[in-house]
Amino acid sequence: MKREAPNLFAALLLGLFGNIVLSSQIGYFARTGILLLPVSVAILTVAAWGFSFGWRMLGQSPIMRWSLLALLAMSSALEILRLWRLFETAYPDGMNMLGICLMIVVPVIYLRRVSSIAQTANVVLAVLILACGLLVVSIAPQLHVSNLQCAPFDRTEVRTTLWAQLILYPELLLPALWPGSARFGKHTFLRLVGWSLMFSAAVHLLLELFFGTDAIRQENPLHTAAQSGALSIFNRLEWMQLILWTMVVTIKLAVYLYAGVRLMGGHACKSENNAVGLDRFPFYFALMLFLCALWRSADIGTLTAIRNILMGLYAGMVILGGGIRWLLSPDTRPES
Amino acid sequence: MKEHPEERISANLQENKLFLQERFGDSLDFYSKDLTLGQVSCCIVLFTGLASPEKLTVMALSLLEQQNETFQNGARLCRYLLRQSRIPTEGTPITTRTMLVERLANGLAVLLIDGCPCAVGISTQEMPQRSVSNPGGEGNMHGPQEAFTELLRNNVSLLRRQFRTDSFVAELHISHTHAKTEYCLCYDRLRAPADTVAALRRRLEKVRLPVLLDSAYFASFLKQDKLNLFPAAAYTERPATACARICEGKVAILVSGSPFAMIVPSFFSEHFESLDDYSSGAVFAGIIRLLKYIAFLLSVFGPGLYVMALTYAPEMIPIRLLGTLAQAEAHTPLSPMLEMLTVTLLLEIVREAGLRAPKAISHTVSLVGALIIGETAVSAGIVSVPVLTMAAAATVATLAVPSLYEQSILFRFAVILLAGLFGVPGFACGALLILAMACGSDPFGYDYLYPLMPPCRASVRDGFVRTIWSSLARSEEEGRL
Amino acid sequence: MAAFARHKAGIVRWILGLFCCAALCGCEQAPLLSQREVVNAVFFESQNNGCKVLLLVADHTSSEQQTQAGFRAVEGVGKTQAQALAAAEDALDGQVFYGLMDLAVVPVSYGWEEVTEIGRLLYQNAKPAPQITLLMTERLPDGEKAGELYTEMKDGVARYGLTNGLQELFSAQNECALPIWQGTGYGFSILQKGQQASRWNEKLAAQLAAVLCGQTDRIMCTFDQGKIALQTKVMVQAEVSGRETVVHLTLVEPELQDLENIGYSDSQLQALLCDELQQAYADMTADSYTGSFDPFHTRIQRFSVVGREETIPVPALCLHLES
Repeated sequence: MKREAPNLFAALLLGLFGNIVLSSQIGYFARTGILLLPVSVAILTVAAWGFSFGWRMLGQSPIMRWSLLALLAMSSALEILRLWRLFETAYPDGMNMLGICLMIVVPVIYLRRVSSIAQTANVVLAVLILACGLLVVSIAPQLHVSNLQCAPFDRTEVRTTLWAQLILYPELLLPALWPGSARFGKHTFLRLVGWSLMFSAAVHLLLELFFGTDAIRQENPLHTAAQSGALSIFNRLEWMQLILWTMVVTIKLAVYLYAGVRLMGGHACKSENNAVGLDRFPFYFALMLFLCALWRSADIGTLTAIRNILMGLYAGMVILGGGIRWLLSPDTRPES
Repeated sequence: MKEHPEERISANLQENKLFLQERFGDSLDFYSKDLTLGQVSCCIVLFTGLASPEKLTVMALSLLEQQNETFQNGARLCRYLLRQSRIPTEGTPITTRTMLVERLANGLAVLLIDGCPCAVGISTQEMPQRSVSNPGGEGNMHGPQEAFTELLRNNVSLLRRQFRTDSFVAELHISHTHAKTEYCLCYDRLRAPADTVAALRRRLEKVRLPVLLDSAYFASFLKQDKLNLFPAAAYTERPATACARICEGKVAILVSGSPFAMIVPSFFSEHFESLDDYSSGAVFAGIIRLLKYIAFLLSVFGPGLYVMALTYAPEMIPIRLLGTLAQAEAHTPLSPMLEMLTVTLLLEIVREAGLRAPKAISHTVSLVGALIIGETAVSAGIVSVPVLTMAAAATVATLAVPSLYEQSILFRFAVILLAGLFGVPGFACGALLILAMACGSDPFGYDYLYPLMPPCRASVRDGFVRTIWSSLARSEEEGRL
Repeated sequence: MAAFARHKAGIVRWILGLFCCAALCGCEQAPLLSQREVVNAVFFESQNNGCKVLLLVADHTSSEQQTQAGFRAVEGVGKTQAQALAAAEDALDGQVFYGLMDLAVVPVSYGWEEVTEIGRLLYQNAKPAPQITLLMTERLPDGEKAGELYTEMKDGVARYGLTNGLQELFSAQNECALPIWQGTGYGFSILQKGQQASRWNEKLAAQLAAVLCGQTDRIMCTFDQGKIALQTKVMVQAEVSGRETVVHLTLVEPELQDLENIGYSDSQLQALLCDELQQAYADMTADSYTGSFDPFHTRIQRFSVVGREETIPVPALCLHLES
């Protein structure tokens, strides 16, 4: 049908789901995660909404824009490196990092329009959900309820779980950057946070049913579990997951790039739907290759933790600064 | 458009004759005959290959001779011919030299009248043309077996015969080419969105080409993204198919001299539909349609997947097949990727040779391709049987969706290269590139993947499969653009 | 600077092109299929002075697959399992490929520590790590018989419906359970950290243990000193009421056959079966429920009702026969 204003909700949701399925480790057991779900959803929703509000106040500041741009660039490089490490784990005699970097970044050329990002994300999200269903069916004989753990609901466990759940991913902050026409329906932040945390809880539950107590220690647990799946004559399906994960990461990069272009001064082409001009791509490719080459030997887990902390601090600054500006702004002062 | 004064037809017959003599005097097929009608000197001019002097004699001159009226001057004669006589003349007089040349090129006989600054065109077209025959491609078991021809007016009449309402519109336009080829926009004014038709008209009006021999020449001008390899339009040789698309609210573009109609806007799912889908039962039609989707995926991804499995991910190969493939690979000199590329390239060369070769030797080409290259290459150990089997299967699968043939070949080569060089991420890159191209394409603002994605009721109603006609007819309103 | 500003897009494109060439240079590093040594199974053995590993590799030059002639064995010895595995890999001609490995066999003498060490080793080395079935065996074969044993074990795993993988070694805290291959059936062993392994060689008891541990869903054996044959599908459900746990074992359409034509009626056969199952269960729970171990994984059900407990009480077995 006629393509209406493209909606990036599916792309953001896909990015959040991708963060979960590509986690190299899970941080908590399912029981604690499910019990703390409402609290985490509430906190993250308020934080994301607060950032959106603060951005309206502070968004014109060049420092704020360039800081977020740097965080997005860092996030993009980390996504590529994380996927590269997963490929190295799965196929030790595979190709080099440059090759993988190129393969992830090149399709972004065809995802330079908002409409293409939105529609491609819809398709990949549908495939991801289908793949997760197939995964569950293929490992169903190895899921045992008896593997569920009796994790104590004490202060340490709560702190660990909240630390793992309350991550302010870039996808939760990016809606603040979209133009008015691309605003989503009601309760966007609540839906994004809610769906992503519920998906996270479901994945944690699945992994605990499969691995038992070893779920916490397992490296790339979802990938390892999927490798054990067998569906009729299809015994080895891990290559399908890797293809899917590559698609998810590429779409994330496209969304980050679109946000980055908006931060640098808005759309690069005449029509809003043409989000990123073709002339920007050589610089984008070069930047991604450079960052990946720079951090190839670094500990991805540490870098990701640093990114998460920086993102949280940045969001806090924007919320605080935005709130102060709102209070001090003469337009908002009550008439005496 | 303001006429240039020099362009107007002169009231002096000799001047007009001189003009035509200068332009066409050396042409073999230019014919002119002086005659007198009443007291008025006239001259008949026509191209003998396009107009028929016999028809002219029977339809016009004989009738004129039987007239009792005498014409004192050219203006009266012209008025009489245009408004009173039974002679099949055109409704409007020819006033400029450009119009004169166009009418002559359209096969009309033109009557130049002394003392009148207009000429009268008489419909006497009889040009050699191919008769309406069976279509060369688009094989169907059921439904009409007519195909378009090269004559534009014939094609419009074929559509008009199917479309017996007053809402069918056939707009004639002249292209901006050296030959001023005519093209026609055919649509249903009640169903085709006015903004889409207007946008199409505007875009085609801006097209500047040296020559227009086929409707496909317009295709690249209608694409929004020039990097996108998916076709901007669909093509059909069958008036029935064009009529069906017009009923859906689309526009058919017919070009003079081309037996193919271009349909815009075109969706991805339409390449997997055929007339037989709607003549056969819903279940069978659904299965065949799904088979075509599988065939497309096999043709694009099959060889690449094979190369990827053999080189980077042998774990996906069934264990019983592993030994056979390993032995076959060990006995050939090339790597799996190069082998697959070589075989695919050879198959394309054979196909192209078979298509272009004269009929007399096309059998020889098939023989050489199938027996000599296939059999002897395997015997000599240049290529292995599994690779040849996979490449042949992909080639055959491509022919199940012939309208996407070019795209299948290009994508297949790309996927083989990417999978062979970069393994699993290369395959993923290829798959996502193709998906992004399909998702990013929006012909005239419509989703190219409609109704397949996002999945909705329409995907099942007439997308991946087809529901029964009674249900389809009920939801006809939703199916329209 | 002005020149750079004018041509910066072109310069960046050139640099990018160089990167692409560098990426392409690193491509197609993967060895050809015929150059790979496809490992189907790995056998671990302890020797007096160290460890031995036997890798069973598919033989591409043989036209017979899945038979003895389609495999060859490569051995490696070392002080530790990791060293022995590395030595065996080095002895291979081509690049080792674990993607199609589906069986790992350890000696029956190994305890929990050795078995989990092997599990971690396989997680680390056998990549892309597939679903690996783990079995124990009394005696490792020599190289020539390894292929035959592998085929026999694979058939047995399929026939008895055994589903276990590397994750079974680590799913419970400090304990795991493994079948012991015996040629015409299998025994069962429950390994616990710091404890002696509990082992059952008698078929009905072993298969009952496997069912209760969730590693199979069927019992196919003979009992009563080989006089009666049994084939049945089994369902297990644990129920906690108050302080007691009851494990409900449902035998779905059991097929009992009097092999010596003694003349038992159906009810007599069923009664004999229930007696033997209860006896086997009593023997195994006497051995395996020590300390905080929970060999049959009823902890989570008890936690839902009773809460956290240090020691898990021995559950009672309740048998149901469903025709």
